[in-house]
Amino acid sequence: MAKVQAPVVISANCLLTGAVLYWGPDGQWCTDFAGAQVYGDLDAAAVAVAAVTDPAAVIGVDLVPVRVSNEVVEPRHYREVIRADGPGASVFPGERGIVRVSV
Amino acid sequence: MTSVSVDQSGAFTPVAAPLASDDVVDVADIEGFAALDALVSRDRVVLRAASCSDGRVFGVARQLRRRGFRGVLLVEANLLPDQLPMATSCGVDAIVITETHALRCAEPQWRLKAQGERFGYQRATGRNLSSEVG
Amino acid sequence: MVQALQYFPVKEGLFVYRYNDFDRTFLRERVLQYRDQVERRLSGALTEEEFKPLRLMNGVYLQLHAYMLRIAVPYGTLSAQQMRGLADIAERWDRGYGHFTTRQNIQFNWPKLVDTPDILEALADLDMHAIQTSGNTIRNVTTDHLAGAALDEIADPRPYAEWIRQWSTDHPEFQFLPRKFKIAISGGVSDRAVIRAHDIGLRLVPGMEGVAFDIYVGGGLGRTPVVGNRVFEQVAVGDLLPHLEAIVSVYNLHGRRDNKYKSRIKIMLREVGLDSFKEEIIDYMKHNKDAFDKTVLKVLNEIKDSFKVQVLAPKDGAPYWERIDADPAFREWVSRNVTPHRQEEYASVTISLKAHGQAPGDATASQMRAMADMADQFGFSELRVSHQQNIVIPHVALADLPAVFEQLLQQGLATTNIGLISDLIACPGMDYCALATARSIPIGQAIAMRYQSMEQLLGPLNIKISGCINACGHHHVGDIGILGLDKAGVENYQVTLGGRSGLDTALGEKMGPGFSEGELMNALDRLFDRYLMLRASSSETFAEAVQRLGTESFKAALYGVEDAA
Repeated sequence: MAKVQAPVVISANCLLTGAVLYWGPDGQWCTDFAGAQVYGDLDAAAVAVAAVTDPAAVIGVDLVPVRVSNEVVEPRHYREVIRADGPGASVFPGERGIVRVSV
Repeated sequence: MTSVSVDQSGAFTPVAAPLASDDVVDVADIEGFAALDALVSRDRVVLRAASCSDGRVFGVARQLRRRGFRGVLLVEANLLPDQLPMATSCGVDAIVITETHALRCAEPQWRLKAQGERFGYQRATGRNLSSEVG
Repeated sequence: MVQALQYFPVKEGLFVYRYNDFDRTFLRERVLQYRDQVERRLSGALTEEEFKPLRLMNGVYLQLHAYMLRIAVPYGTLSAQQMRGLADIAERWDRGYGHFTTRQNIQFNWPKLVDTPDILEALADLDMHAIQTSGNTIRNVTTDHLAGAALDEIADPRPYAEWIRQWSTDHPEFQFLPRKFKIAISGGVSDRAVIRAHDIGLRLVPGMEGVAFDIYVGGGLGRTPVVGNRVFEQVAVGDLLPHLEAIVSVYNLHGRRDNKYKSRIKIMLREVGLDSFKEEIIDYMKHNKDAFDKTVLKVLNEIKDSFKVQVLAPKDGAPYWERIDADPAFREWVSRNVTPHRQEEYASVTISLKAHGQAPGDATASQMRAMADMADQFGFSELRVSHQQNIVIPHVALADLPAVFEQLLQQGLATTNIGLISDLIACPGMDYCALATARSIPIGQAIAMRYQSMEQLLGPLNIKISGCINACGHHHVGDIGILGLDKAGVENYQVTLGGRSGLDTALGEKMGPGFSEGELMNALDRLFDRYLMLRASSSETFAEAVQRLGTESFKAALYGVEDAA
């Protein structure tokens, strides 16, 4: 595993549903990547993680490195793009013109 | 650090003194089932495993019984209550767990798991369980 | 929510295992236990670390976006009623579709943890379960999807598979093995179950008294692929379970627990050596002679009664021959998707779940119901899941094939591509799987779409795609294997050529550096051009051409370099 680089968002899976969750600025978990709080440095993120870790509600709290450009936030790694967008997420460069996975 | 012994019925008994180190066999150190012959004449054997996911304790316990061990057979590992019937059917008399583990996996949970007929398929397919032949 | 079920009358007895009261009681018990475990997890009495092995024992995984429930389809056999029940579950608790896997199971990708006890209860109503579909235990026993129907069969392997299922279910010693343990069994002269790619492969052979078993040990794909070797020959039926118990016990003791990638029996065999392993097995069996009593063969015979070979009622084949003469599309479908049956007037129908552009192995609830209806109407209510991720109706009268074809056309299930390039298999890959390093489904979709117009020209060709080194897509044994990896944060696909399944199982040869998704398609273009140029005749398949010529020239084509030859 490569070392995590800031900026990051905090993510986990919901214990009840398994859904992907992001920690929002309001101190709540949300299911939408766009609602995630971005942490510019790892220390601040670590403090937040210590506060959110609730073993009764979520599984696998982790830091997800993101890229921020022109105020658009997106995960750095394609795995996290797929986690955020769901199966069939388009992460190959360019359009490929193939049918997406039906969900 | 005290520990707790859980018998086949799920009942707790505090274990005051540490287990005699001569009795303890770490399952990771067993070279082969044939090596169990050296333990057969002992009065007591304690099989130690590092975690509840180390399934060697079950197979080793059963083979120890099948090779003729008649003494007291303990497992020292923080097994889950769900694993009590597995251990029992392999000929284990009691499981020794830490006090911390005993707090989270309390006696009623173990007693609940001790009830009922288990390993029905092994019986039904004609497999002799060690408790019957040991 | 759940539609009223419409069952066609079952004309004759099913040729599948019929649950008895004991089986049903066992499942009920098991559901209650699991319900209690989920409650303890939610209350905090169990940590995730402790709960994980317990949920895995019941087929519940946590994947990338959701939980996943893998349901056992023992040895790939299910009744029409069970298929219909799966459709109901897909709609009630999931997103209206299911995914048939390379291990002949079905998995649902979106269940909620809190619903899983209810789903398991609904499965118990269908005499189905998710026991030992995951976790470090003996998994679902897989077999030939044509079992009981194939022309070349020595004996139906399914009674033995069911016997092994019962013996291994909830086995007190084998719930916490060093790693998962897979057993496959084959009853045909040819091996359609890839037995040598399993921890234990069993082959039914003619024996002194009836049948016996050749036992292959230590096969497996994954990070370190190994082709299993025959370790025991001519094992009598009565000695089968003692052998299996000895092998798994010795593995349980010696298999490595310090490194997940070295924990399978294939690595243990390499470390302890075959001779020492056999000695231990013999010593073990000496001390466990009375480990099974006489009931064990009685149980087998009762199971065999369920699967009894029956002579199917002959039917006038005239409608079949008329349609063959009149309809080229039907003729083509028969030549691709229909396999000869042990009984002349019958055939086995493979329903392709590989419509071009669809996720391989996915079926919607309505497709599941349609397949169940067809099995009721034309196939003695029996269905199979093949490890190639298709559905088989094993016993269909030739006379009924035109009607089956019509219904398949209506349901969009008449894709005529069995054995062709678009009949590829792919693991779920990173679209779903938490372990994946790259996606595999989109690669499969892209290949199927790109070569659709030339697949007849390319002829029989199997492509197998895995999204990580665990090799659930069996890429090592494909004519063309594709392995998706993460190369410095970019998806990268490695190609192997020349893999084979069957008794002459061979691992494909790794060609060289991997390709990006776009490069991969161009590389395949060049590869297929080279094959079409080099093949001896239009009847020489891709695999045969690679075997005859070696991989050198094909490798050069993949990388677009001049062929030295």
